[in-house]
Amino acid sequence: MRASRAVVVAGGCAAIVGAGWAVSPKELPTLDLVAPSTPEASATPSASPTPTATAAASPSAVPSDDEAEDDTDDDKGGERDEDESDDAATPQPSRTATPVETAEPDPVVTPVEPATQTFDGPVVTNPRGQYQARITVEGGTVTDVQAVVAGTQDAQSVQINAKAIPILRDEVLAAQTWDVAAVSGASFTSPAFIESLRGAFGQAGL
Amino acid sequence: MTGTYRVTVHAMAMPFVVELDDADPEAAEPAIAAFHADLVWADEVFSLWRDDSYLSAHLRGDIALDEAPRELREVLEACEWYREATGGGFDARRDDGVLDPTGLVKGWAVARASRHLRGARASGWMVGASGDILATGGRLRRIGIADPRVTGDPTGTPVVDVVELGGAFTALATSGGAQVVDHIWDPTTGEVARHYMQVSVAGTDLTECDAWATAIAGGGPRIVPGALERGLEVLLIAGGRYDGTYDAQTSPGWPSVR
Repeated sequence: MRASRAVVVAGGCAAIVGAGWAVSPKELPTLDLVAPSTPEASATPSASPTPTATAAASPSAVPSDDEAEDDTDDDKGGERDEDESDDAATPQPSRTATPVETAEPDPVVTPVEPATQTFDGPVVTNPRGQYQARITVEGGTVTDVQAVVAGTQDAQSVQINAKAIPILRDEVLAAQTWDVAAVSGASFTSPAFIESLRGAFGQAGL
Repeated sequence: MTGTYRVTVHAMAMPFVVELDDADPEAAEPAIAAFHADLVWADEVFSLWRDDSYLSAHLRGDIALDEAPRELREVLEACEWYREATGGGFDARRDDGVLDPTGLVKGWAVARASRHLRGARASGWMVGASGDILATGGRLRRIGIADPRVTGDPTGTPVVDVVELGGAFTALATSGGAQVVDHIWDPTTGEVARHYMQVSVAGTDLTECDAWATAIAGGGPRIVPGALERGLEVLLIAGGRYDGTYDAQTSPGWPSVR
């Protein structure tokens, strides 16, 4: 059960970083373990299955953010608009992900933007270990998402994270009306039974 | 009889919807009656809400296992088997160590009773067992996954996902959700399990799907790899968002047709 939290938190990191995906819906970040604590066991298997596995993930991010930002930038006007909008977009993921990096504005002011930047999220600690996400930003788009630290050094944690993190696909589900033959949900009782219960309560004067 | 014959029977205080495709008109009703009788029988043996059931008597210590129908022992052994298979995620033991198989009984009873449906000589059938679905292969059926917020019978309500049963998967079980809040305990911590809002498991054996869905809801993500190793596919609804949608994870082979 402890180990379970590991994955929840790792998922949480991915969700935070997800705000950055709005900038580039086409770029599909992958979630890899950058620094595996045990040599062979973890990193290698996690690397390969992810690109396909994460494919479904990013459309979930809200694409409209992008346009909204462009609009505000348009209002400001100016030739350097594109650069600005890029710059304005870049710190967004970094701010949500890294309260640590308050010195961040400096590189943003400089007109020549470094081609690739990486931002590390805060280290989140829970009883099962520490978790930290890293995003790579290229020209304002997030191109990679990695887990710098995931879980503890102990073999079980590493194994579980290596197995569980890449294997599941993220989705966002919205309630919609579909034509279906049946619906699967948690067990429910007969309306008749509820009716009868009500009757019983009524008789009991409750 | 051509077309689909649909009937609802009640047992264990739950509705069971049976759908028969192109059934023999004379055989359909007896088959469903036998199916119903089997469920009623299972209720008489396993119900904890009746003092006179074999299970109640056994848990009170009034009768030994030998004095009860052999199915009682069968289900109790299945509980222990699933506890081991799920790495402790599915744990039917109560605080005092006595086995309470209620979590497994419905899926088991439906799987067992469904043998009578063959008697209807239908080209295919489906049972909607109060949220758990069992179907025959051959014809594809679209099954919705209930919105975790919906209480009561989810039939006709908006669903969060749609899967197809009848191909590689014929059974689907869902645990958690809004029906009975906080009724699953984490066997490791003894606390109420809140790992996921709702867990759905697709496979071919309803008892197995039911046990794993309960196990994942109770034990959390560490149970998931075990289910995937057995060829089951899972849909995990982790939490709700402000805009009314849900964060969810699916295994790579989840048969969604959304």
